[in-house]
Amino acid sequence: MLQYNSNESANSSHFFITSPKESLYILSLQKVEEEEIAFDSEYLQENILQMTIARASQPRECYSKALAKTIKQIFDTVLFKRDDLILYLSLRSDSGKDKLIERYISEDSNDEFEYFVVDEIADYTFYFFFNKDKTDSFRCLSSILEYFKNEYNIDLRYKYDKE
Amino acid sequence: MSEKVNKKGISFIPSDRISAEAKLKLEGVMKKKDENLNKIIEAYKSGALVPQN
Repeated sequence: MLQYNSNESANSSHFFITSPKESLYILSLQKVEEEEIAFDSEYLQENILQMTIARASQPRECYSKALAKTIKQIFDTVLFKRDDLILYLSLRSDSGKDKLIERYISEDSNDEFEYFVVDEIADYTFYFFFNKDKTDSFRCLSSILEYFKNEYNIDLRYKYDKE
Repeated sequence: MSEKVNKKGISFIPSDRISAEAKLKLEGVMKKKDENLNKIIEAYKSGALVPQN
């Protein structure tokens, strides 16, 4: 686990994560304006916070595992605070970060934490993280399916493990 | 020893090919995300975005 400070408000939260050698990462969870992404659903538009992470200094060492664990702890804290909250992350599929995320989540012991992942969308992968005791997973999923259909005309189907 | 399987995530993929129009729209969304990322770094460097605690 790494140390962090925060700057939190109603529509956005920023977490300043520092490594022992003072590399700085800024984890941002921000409400998404319709001009940026139109989720085509009041439920998603109101309840989604988009995650981005910026490296604000040159790292002297690699702390990827400690950084991932710190981010996961922040996720758990943020998701526990509010009903219906969904944390949204979009990634380029070739970045390799999707495999890293899924590996770390597989080691996670918080049973309330779950996510939907939408994969193979052109070159992108989309994650929707939530606390299943705070967010209605059925409503969340149906809104996500509607969003991809209405916004991109993409019908989604369940991906079997062996695909 | 068996490989640890992730049971927390449920994955979805498209049923059909994705249209060129949808790809273009997605590119635009990702571009805005990158711009937003740059704004966060600029805000931090200018002192407009700082930790509260």
